[in-house]
Amino acid sequence: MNLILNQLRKDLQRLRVPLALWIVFLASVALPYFDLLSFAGLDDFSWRIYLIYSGFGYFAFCALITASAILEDPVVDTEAFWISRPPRAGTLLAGKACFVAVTVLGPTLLLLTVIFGYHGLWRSLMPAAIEICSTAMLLVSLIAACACLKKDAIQFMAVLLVLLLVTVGLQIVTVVYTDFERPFFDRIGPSSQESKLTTGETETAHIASLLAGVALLSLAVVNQYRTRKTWRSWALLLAAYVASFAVYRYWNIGLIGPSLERGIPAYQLSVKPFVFGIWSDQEPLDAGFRKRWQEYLSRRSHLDVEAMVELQDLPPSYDWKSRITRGETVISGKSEHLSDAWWFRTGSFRHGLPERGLAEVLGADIALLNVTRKSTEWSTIERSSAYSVPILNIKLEDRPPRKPEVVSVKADLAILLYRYEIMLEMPFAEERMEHNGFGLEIERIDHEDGGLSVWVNEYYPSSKLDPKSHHWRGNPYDGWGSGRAPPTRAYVVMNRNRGEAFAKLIRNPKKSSLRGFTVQKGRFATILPKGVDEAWLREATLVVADKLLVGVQEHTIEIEPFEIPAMPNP
Amino acid sequence: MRSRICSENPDWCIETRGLTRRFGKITAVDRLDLKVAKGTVCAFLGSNGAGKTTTIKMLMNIIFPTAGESRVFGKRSQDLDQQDYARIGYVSENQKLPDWMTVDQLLRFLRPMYPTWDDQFCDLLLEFFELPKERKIAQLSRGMRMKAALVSSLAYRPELLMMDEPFTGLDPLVRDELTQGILEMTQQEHWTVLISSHDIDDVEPLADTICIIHEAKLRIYEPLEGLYDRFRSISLESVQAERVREGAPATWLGAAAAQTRVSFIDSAYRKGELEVAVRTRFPDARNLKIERLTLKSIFIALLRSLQPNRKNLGELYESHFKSTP
Repeated sequence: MNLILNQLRKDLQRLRVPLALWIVFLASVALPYFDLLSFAGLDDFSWRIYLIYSGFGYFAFCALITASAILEDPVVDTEAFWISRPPRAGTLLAGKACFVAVTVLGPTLLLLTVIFGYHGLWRSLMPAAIEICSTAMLLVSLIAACACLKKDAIQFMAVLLVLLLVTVGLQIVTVVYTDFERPFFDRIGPSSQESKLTTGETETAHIASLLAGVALLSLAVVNQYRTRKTWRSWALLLAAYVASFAVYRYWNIGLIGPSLERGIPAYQLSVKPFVFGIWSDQEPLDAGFRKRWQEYLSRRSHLDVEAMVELQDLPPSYDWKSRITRGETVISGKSEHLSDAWWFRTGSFRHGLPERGLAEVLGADIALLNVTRKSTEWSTIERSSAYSVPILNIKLEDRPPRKPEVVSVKADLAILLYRYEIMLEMPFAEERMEHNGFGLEIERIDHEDGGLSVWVNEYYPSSKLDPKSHHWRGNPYDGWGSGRAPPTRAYVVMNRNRGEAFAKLIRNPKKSSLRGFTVQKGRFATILPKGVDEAWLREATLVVADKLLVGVQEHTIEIEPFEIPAMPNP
Repeated sequence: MRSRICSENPDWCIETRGLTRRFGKITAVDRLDLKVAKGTVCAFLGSNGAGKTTTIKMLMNIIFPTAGESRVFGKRSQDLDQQDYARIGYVSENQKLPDWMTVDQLLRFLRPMYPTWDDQFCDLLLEFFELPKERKIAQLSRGMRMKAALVSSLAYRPELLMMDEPFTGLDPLVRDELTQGILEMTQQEHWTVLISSHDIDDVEPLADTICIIHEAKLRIYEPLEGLYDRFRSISLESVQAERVREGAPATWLGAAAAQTRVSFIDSAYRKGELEVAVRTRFPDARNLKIERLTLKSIFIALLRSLQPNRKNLGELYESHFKSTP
């Protein structure tokens, strides 16, 4: 233990200047989260500069501190000072690990604790800490693995650069590949007020993927220190990439994500599979949707298999959508994967208002109406109670059948059940209201030709992030994407006396993140048609409702074998 | 296979058996069998690239052998632990020191690592080597750095001192100081020393045993006194001088004839027997001179005998420039 402390003391002394700068940097990153320095006056551009500064700075300091500590006593250098001295590799590694824990991970965790504590958001501390510390550990272990495989800073930087490029490339591949095929069970869930402070990336697969990477990279570091067998360490380092990818791809157990409601209502699933003929011979199912892909599709001959899905006896307060999560195709006795994963994403194309469940939660005697900016003529829109889920899409150019082939399909269908929940209902005349940590204010009302535009801000009064405006600031271009936010937030202007309500649905409310701190800019406008006047508004209330995921159920569906006709040789 | 395993004889401080290290197709050390007794100074000699540094690094477990094994204090090098390293002093010409530290900081950093660290002895060494404690290592000359490395490796009175080319690049005065210092201390402290060098004059005063390694193989391994007794420089005059190359005994190294003068080095000298051999070959021999050799002369004679076709610079110059019209 004494030797470990001795090593730690030496490294602290050696790197005292970078460490002092690191502390200054951390303080500068933390300042916006306190009342000491208000960032209310910053525009989005400045805020984005701040995000780049903090993200890049964090990486740069992690790399500098971790690599400097390791390269101070290089593992692969046979002339290194430590190598002929009593502290053996295990002691040296323990010393370096302590150093990184004390100088990098410790301050990160401390900073999080202070900020979350300052804002009284203790419940969010643990998920944020898990998420941020696992990210930091991955960063540190990658840097450490590179550093302990090289004996000087130049070689280290060259290797790190290459590995970072590989990492970015692999991330892109991972996102593109897995987002199509991997189930999203713990990616969408009920959002609590406090959970909005996390990045929303605390999905279990993401954390598990990070930790798998950390484990194998740490193993590479330990192996390098203990055996100095560099080829084996390289193998472990590369295995870390494969493991991270595989874990992210195949993990489907939600441990960290929000818990789902246990009481899923009973329903009867009705699945009617059907097979289109060759695409060019068929009428599209949804002309509006297909039109966007017409050009793409027209260049290729396709064969589509879809299933009409319907949930019978589902209580009216619930909404649902279905998604094919994985499947197997057998063509002429040979097993093949589903041919075109893109279609899984497009399986959720939907219709407009009224959303199932929203009308129910507002009240039985309310007619929920939809208005668009283009057409202020309002009307009720009936949506179908069933819709089709694309299952299989075979590109016949890739596989032109010379003779008729028999195809059978087996697929897993996930049913995602949602329910609306009112977050706040404010009399329109009040203009501002707070409830349960959520705030709403009417910024202004614009009288336009054909109706009114109501501009609304939402804010979080329990946060001291931006005391002047109460706005959550951030990069407005990021989507909730993988976050915990509700997939749909509804803003409803409702007049109970007249039994009318006009809703504006915001899908994927905007957010941004600063290493664990989600910030939201909740300014939006809703449009009211001509029939709404000042007298109508005086009786009205403004309602915010979130559509929350309450359960996921999987079903297996099978398509009876069908035949693909032979195609002439193009 | 059993014969390839080193014994655990407590009398040997260092022991290798069949120690081999290859770097790709190059064999740096080839089946080296070596034993260094406790309390002795072993000079490990060889030309550049002979395999000295590789051997010492394998002994220190800095690099790993391809075959064979090495033992230090009776333990396999790979099994040496913290306590064992606390008994070994290692000084190498290429060893990196933490340049950002002062000499004092370096010594204070090392102090907790060695239970036997002796502050008084350390001060004595600092005084002996005239090392400025407050100066940063980066600001020290090469000689001073080597002295700092020596102090940091001696202050805990190591039982075994391994030095790899400690005199390289040092001026003669510093070399002499270091040699004297090491000599005095090893005699007083009864340390075991393995010192590698290709500067023979520097290690000659220190050595009890000589190991000469050439082209990865051990060529000589015997006590210095034995070498002194065994090697003699012979010169004589004879009208049949050219006969020195005809069927000369293998133990006659570097046999040369110039007009009537004959010279060679006898590597198996026995008083009386040599004179008989000379008289047999050169019946008219006169002015026979038999002289003891320095270690450097023995070393050079040995290396030349191992490379009989090697040309010196003069011969190379002549063959390149004089032969062309």
